[in-house]
Amino acid sequence: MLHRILIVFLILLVQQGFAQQPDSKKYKITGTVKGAWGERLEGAYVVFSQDKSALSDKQGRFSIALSKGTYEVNCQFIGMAPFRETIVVTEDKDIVLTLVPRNFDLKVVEVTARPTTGINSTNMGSSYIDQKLMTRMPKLLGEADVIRTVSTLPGVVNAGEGTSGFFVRGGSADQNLVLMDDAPIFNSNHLFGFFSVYNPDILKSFTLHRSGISARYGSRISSILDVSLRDGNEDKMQYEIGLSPITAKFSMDGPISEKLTMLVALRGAYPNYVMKLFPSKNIKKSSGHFYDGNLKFKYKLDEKNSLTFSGYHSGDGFKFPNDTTYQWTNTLGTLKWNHLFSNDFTGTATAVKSIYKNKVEGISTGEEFELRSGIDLSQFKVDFGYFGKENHQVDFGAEVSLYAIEPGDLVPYGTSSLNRRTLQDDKGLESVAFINDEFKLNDKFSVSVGLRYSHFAKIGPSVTYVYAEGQPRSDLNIIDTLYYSSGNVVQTYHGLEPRASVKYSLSEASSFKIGYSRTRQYIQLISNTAAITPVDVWKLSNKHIEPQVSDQVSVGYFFMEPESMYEYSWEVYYKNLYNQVDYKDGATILLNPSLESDLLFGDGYAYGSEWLVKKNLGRMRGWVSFTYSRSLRKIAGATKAETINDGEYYPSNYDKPLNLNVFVDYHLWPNWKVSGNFTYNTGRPVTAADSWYWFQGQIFSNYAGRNQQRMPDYHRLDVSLNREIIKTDKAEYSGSLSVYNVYGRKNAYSMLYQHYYGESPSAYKLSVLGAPVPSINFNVKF
Amino acid sequence: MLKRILTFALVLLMGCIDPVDVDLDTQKKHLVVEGYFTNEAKLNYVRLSYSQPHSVPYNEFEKGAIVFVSSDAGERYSFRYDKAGYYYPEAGAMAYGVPGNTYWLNISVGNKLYQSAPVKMQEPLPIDSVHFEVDEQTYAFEGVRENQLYMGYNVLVDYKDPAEYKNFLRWSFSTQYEVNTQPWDFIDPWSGQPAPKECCIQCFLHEKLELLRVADDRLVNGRDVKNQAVLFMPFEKYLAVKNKLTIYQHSITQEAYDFFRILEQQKNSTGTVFDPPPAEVKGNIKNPANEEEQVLGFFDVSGVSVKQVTILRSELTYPAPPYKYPDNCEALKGATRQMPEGW
Repeated sequence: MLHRILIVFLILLVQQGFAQQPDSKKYKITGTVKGAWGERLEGAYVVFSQDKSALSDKQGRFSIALSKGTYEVNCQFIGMAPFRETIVVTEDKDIVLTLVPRNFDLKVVEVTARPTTGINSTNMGSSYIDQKLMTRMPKLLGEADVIRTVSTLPGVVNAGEGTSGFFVRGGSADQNLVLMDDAPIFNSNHLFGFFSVYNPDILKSFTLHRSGISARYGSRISSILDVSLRDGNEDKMQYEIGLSPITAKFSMDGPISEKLTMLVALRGAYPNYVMKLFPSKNIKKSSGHFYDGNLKFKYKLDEKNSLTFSGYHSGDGFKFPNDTTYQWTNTLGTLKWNHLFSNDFTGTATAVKSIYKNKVEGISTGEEFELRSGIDLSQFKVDFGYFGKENHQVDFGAEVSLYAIEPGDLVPYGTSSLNRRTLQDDKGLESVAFINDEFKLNDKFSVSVGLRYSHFAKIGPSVTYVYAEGQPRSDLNIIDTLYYSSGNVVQTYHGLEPRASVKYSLSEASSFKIGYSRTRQYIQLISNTAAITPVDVWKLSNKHIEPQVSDQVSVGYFFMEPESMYEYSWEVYYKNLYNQVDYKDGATILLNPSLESDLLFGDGYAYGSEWLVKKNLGRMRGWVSFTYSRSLRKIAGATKAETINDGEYYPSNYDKPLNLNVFVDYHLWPNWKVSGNFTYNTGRPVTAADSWYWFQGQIFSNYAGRNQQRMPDYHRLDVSLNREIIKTDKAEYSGSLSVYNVYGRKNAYSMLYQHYYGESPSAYKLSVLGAPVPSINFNVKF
Repeated sequence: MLKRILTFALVLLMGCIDPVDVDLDTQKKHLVVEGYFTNEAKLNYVRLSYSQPHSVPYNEFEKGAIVFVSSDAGERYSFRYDKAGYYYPEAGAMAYGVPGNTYWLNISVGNKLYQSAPVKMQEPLPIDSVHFEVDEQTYAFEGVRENQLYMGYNVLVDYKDPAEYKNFLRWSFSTQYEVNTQPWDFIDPWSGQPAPKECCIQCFLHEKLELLRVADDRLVNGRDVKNQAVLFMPFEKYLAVKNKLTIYQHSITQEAYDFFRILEQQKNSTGTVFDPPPAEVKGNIKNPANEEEQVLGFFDVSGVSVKQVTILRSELTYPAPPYKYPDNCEALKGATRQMPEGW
């Protein structure tokens, strides 16, 4: 039924668009905004003689209706020199605006960042950062990193050093959809999370959507981190080499033929030689490594068709002495076909594959094993953009994703006395259709309304347990087992996800926005550690695990000085969260066929207020963001064993009320810039002990309830000195020197209670990077 | 030079542990019950103490409780207070349980009554053989502030896991051993001058080694389990001359397994990325008049099988250095010069 309504709705909207022919006196001007290397620029503002304007979409396309006449076209885009040209409108036209990067001319003052949120667009709660800005932020171990940069944005906090997880507006790490050129990534960690899967040298930009999310996006309830990589340039073959103490990078990109461009990037890390220098045997014998590679092709079939392929593969490993080795690989592939149906109708078909494989190997005598797990996602989607109707920008599309999760296969070998244990694959099919229309009611009001419909089917083969009613779910209370054969539907869930946002311009320089979004999520990471680690398990919704749902309302005020010198925003949000997952005390997660019996489910809410002040121009640039937010959960199960903190609301693991970020970039001398980044947030809630006791001759702490206390606050200052590009005839050099955690704050990663002989048992904190970490990096491009 | 800088940089990366303040207002006191009832009379005892706020460094015992174990077969064993919180059965060697019967613990303290959940005694599972493997592990001798790396024996047991039902196991140990010391090398701690002593060289010690190690048969059901590591024993002190080690293999219930497993998890947690957050350990004892009252600990009923092995230093497969203790061996805590029977 819902399908039908949706289709009718879709048809109506499209028909309406076609039915209304443009005013006879008006001509349709469509166009594409491109960078010098042919990459399409999203979100460029195209102004026609100062009173008519259009914003380019994801494919750099825009459309506007103009009366006959002569217009001056102005276009601005971050990092690009302003574009200015005159056009004469006498008929419908399709134009191409090619922007030139600004750093071709260093004398011109450069814009640090494009406004975080345009005051004239309806989107709110989304932040855009480009590669150039990111590389100027202080680095850890010589690498700029997307995920570390994301956690400097308002409403985002880092899960802790040594993890690459981040929490957005009180949600968990797995509630963020992390994309690389449209392909979802299931483990974005490299080397204990000190690096992420994104190679900064080939990054184009990234956008984090966290409220007023367009119907185009979904599948996770907290946020979407949409990262795009550069296409190969169309000009000439270029090479880049980057070095830092423990990583080396090489990339090359350029045209292969007139129609085909290519980009190749390789990266590897070699921390072992440094670890070997340690006196400690444990560190000496430990080892770690990672490598990754990107391959991107873009083929321009003709003016109306282009094909893009983006592939990625990475391998990771680390080993603790005489114990266990962990290895994982990510393989991603995206094949995209862009088609221009007409000047105001574009379409994209995308096929995506994301494979995450994980292997844990135990080598202790008598317990040798190999444990394999992983996830395999195949996705196909189409989206269309239609802007033939004046003041409307319609996006619609559909998406099908097939998830196949291998939860764990334990294979013993050697002298092992373990049994082989294989858990049934976890399969599911998610189907989505969406439509979003962004339209301008008048000069002051713009509205974006969207509807997303998602349907999820958990499919067999599957073994589903039936638990006795009224008793705590546990493997002791299984009263029946249902078997589903391959391909049979075990359980379905579906629902509408309405999205809406409204912009009201208060003046030329300021606007007021309000947004609502409902998001649904059918896959979750089951982990009772704070970070995404190789021993966590992805799990689809099933008979016992209902999909997570979030309803979010947000209201914001946005102000931008006419010259874009200062930018100010204030956003307030409230979220209701349903079917949130928590864990029973001492839950078993690995190789547990009745995993749901170790999980607890409940609801929650989160709210917050985010302020951002940003200076975009001048010798000193940067921003200050401040957030006050709360995130609470309530787990009130049918029995006491399934209830946390007596069924009262308690702070979730992601509840960090105060969050302050300051980023400053200062132009020191002509070619030198110094930048600093300061972060402060309230300590994470922890389960604390109310007393200590002796048991069996050992001392223990009595942890009662959950998350009633907090760890010490987190704060850190990083600085870096960046040498601007030095250009010679043959090459361009750049480099930077960074110090992470300048004043050596010992930030607590976790809290534990320990007893040392002769003292009363007391609380201690574990800090991962408890000292300043200097690093240097060097890049050459030729 | 570069090497030094890099080493420095990496040292900084490593984790470190520092004390933090705790909110003392939330600290509480709870009754802690450590109760064991098995088919081996000498393993049966109940220990009562109170949990203490983190500001208090001393343990507090309950000395005046009335303690007894009763069963569905009508048995009743009273326990009498001895010292240091320990209560032992009045019936001594006659107080042992029968596998298959269900037992529960009753405690009255003042006007409060506490009762454990009824626990069925499981059939003991025999140990087929015991062997040893040289290993290096961190270990802290009693009275030593920090863990240190020691060479020693990993004690491994083999047993046959029955396939018909789920089995849960726990191990406990008692050890008797001989040490030889060097009283003639004694140095006066006040003057720092050598002050040789004449006596004594040969002593005997007896210790109960309690570990939280538990195992389930989730991954080994129905198999001949080989080399299940149950204990690490450093060569230092324990294997100085001769050691008689008794291994008790307890068949426990799933509830007991969960309890000990979470305790073990807590003990081994170092707070790293890979550790689960600390969890509340729910025991099986409560105050029926006030179910809200948190009572810590567990009443564990288990069927026990026993195996004894003797290890001689002369038979060690590793060239462990001799035990050095430049004092009268009687200065060692718990040492006696009385040779045990049958040594």
